Amino acid sequence: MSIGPTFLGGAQSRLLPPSVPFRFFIAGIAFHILMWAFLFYAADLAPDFAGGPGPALAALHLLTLGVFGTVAIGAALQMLPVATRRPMPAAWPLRLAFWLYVPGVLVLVHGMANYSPAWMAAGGVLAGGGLFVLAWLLAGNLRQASDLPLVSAYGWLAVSSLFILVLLGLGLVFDFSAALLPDHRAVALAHLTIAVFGFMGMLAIGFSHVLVPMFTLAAAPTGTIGRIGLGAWAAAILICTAGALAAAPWLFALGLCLALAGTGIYLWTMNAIWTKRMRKRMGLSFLLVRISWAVLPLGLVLALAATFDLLGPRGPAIAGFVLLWGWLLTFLMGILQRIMPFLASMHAAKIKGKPPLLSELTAERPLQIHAYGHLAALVLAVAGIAFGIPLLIQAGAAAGFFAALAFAAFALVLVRRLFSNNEVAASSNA
Amino acid sequence: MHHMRNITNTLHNEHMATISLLNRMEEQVMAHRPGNPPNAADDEVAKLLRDIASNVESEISGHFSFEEEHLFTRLAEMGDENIGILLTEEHHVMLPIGQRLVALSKEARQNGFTVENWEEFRRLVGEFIERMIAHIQKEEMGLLPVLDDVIDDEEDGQLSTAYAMSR
Repeated sequence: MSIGPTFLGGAQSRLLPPSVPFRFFIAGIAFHILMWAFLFYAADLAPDFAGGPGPALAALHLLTLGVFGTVAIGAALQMLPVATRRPMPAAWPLRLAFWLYVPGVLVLVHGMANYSPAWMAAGGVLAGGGLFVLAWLLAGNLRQASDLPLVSAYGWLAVSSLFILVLLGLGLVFDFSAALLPDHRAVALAHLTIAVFGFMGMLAIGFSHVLVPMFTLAAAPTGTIGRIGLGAWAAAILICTAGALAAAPWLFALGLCLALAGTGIYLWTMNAIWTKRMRKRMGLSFLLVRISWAVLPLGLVLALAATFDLLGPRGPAIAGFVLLWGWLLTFLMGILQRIMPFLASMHAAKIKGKPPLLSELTAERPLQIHAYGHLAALVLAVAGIAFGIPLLIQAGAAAGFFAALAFAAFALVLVRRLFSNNEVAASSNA
Repeated sequence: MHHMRNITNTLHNEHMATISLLNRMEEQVMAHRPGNPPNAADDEVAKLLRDIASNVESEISGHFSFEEEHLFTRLAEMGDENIGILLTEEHHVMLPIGQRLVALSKEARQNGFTVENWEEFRRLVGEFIERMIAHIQKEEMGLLPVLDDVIDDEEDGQLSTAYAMSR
């Protein structure tokens, strides 16, 4: 797989206006702060959380819809047209989707936190509508991509999963008021499985095959092994979902074993890229990414153990936290701190013929505070869940909250420096 | 990273050599803070200063010129001139920084570093590394795979000969 002249020449003509991806990123960063605050508030409920409305479900959806949804979509909307070399048709449907999605998530989370089926239904319809528009646009872009088969295939898995998880999510929301579903818990587990592995997981793994070689200066993976990994993940999603819907732990466990096989191939590929990279100093962002890679198989093994009740009543919460916060959130924050300056630099005007340096746009100190705060948050919160100590979860949530504030400071500095650079460029080039 | 053509492998090997030099420059700059210049007579520092001078003066400027004269023109003939325009602009930004680094390296080899010229050297090394890494990133991920696709065996031979003659 070659990404060819992806980042050269015409790439800038395929960029969306910076306000489009950045509004999703900024919303995600705000949800990130709110999520840790909610986890602090829901600390008493977190260790025994097994679904159902309340502050713990609200915190979970602030993470999945709030942080993952906005950041993944912001990144996909911008990176996919550049990678596939096919522009998005227009910016206005993306803005419309944003204004459906973000208020929708807020309304939905408000309804979850306050046990209100009406608010959940209203928020679900708004957020689901926004997601359908976005999924449709992403699918349209993927349909035109022919020269990135592996990344496109991961993209198709993610987008198909998005459609299904929205439908299941809406079913769950309306089930609170109308009792439509035969087994609410089974559908909830299927919804969670498709969200974690299908939508977010496939986006994270698919984009890794483009972004990690790009940032580390290494050859992009090629060949059969990538297709085998993709097949393992596709089967894992299908079988886990079937196992969840049929309430069949053995089937679910078989799906998790396939996910472990897919993970092995993914990590083998990433390790090959890492060891052959030309750029040796990769900084804190890749420390987070590498930690997330280590956490992924751990989370799957914990999920496997929890499937057979080997971890006790807190098993699902432990496995869920490790996969969602430990793997996906850590990966996402590591990549986001690379993507944001990269995109900003592509939108930065030249001053006297010179584009600004990435380091001139980026504030390092907030990223250091974020990284250490985030890692401390993970350790404290997972220990709190495992031992059933809400105070530890609150300590972790507080560390995560301050880490999220530091990340927000990084983002604000970046945006301010980009605007400032472009103002200086406009006046000096006038 | 293995490319399909001799000319792209040659360019790739030069990128590797340049990154190795950049890594050594970065190590020195990280080891000696502003106000604390290294001893230019120290073996490792003296070798680095010599390598900066020779690498930037011949290798990098020769590499840039060859790309502009032989490769970007070839891509422009195919109708893809944006690649060449973008990369040529980057050459024009980087070369003066490299040339100033060469001058500072020569000065330091003769008279050692002062606090002032060490300060300037550090700043320029930082900028040079950042711009060069981004540039090599674009060439490795974008330019070389395109060249692998469009150059045939005969043209590969001609370009390799032309490159060897130009060095």
